[in-house]
Amino acid sequence: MWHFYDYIEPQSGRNPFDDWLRALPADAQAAIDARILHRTGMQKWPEKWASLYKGTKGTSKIIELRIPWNKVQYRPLGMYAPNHSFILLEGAIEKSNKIPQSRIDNAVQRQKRFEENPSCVTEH
Amino acid sequence: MSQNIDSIKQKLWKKLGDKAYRDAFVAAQIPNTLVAQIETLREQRGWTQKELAEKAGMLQSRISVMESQSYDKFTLSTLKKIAAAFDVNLVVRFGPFSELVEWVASLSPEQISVPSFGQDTLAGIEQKQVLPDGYPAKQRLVAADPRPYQETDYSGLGGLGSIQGWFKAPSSYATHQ
Repeated sequence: MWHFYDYIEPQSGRNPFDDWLRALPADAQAAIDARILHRTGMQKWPEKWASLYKGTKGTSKIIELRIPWNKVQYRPLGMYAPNHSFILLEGAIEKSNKIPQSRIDNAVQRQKRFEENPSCVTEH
Repeated sequence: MSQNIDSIKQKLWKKLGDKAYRDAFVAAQIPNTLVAQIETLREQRGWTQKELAEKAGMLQSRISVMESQSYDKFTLSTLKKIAAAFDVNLVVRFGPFSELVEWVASLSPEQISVPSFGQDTLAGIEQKQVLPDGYPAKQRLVAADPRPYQETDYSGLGGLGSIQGWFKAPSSYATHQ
């Protein structure tokens, strides 16, 4: 079983992924929650569900969850962590096959902070 | 870091309080499960998409599309063909949200995988029940055993004795070798 966690900003206590999710329409939130819950129970994560984002430089390994819903491509961004854990770092919407660079940059920065302080997470 | 099922259930139940949310959750959950199951059952059986397509009387390209994560246009007709190809039951019915929450919160690879009839078992019945065609459902509940049919004695089961009639095979079958 996989465990999903939201990254928490250490200083402000802000939960950026949850902020992004709650700003979406209720039906989109449901589609994303349904997919995340479904992935929780699945051993295998095929490429079609979750794939390494190939646009990052250096050692960052940002994973994008691919969730199409009502013709919108939702892309929760996160990273794998030990013990079958997945840390949700940021959320984005892909347009014209591109995720906004600012969202990727946020995810990369939060990944670094998480690696420095792995306790800055909460249950999704 | 740990996460428990009760916490998942509580959070989901709270969110389901929103009508738009719960309608969408149901709509999203169906393809999530079906897409994962079709691919899982096919791979467990060691079949290619083409082999599944042949068994289901469909085109390989349709199986490929159905296994794509964004497919959400399943029809009952298609699902019945796929179920027959896998030789598994197909459950289509309305249910309470509490059941959905239980299912989603405890989802596991074991729940997704389904044995075909040949590998399936029914608790309390050791021998596989193979029923001759043309018999009414209640009367077909007899073992496909080469030995002559013998009515089971349920007298020791108290109130259940009244169901004996269900299991009584037609006389033509009772004497069939």
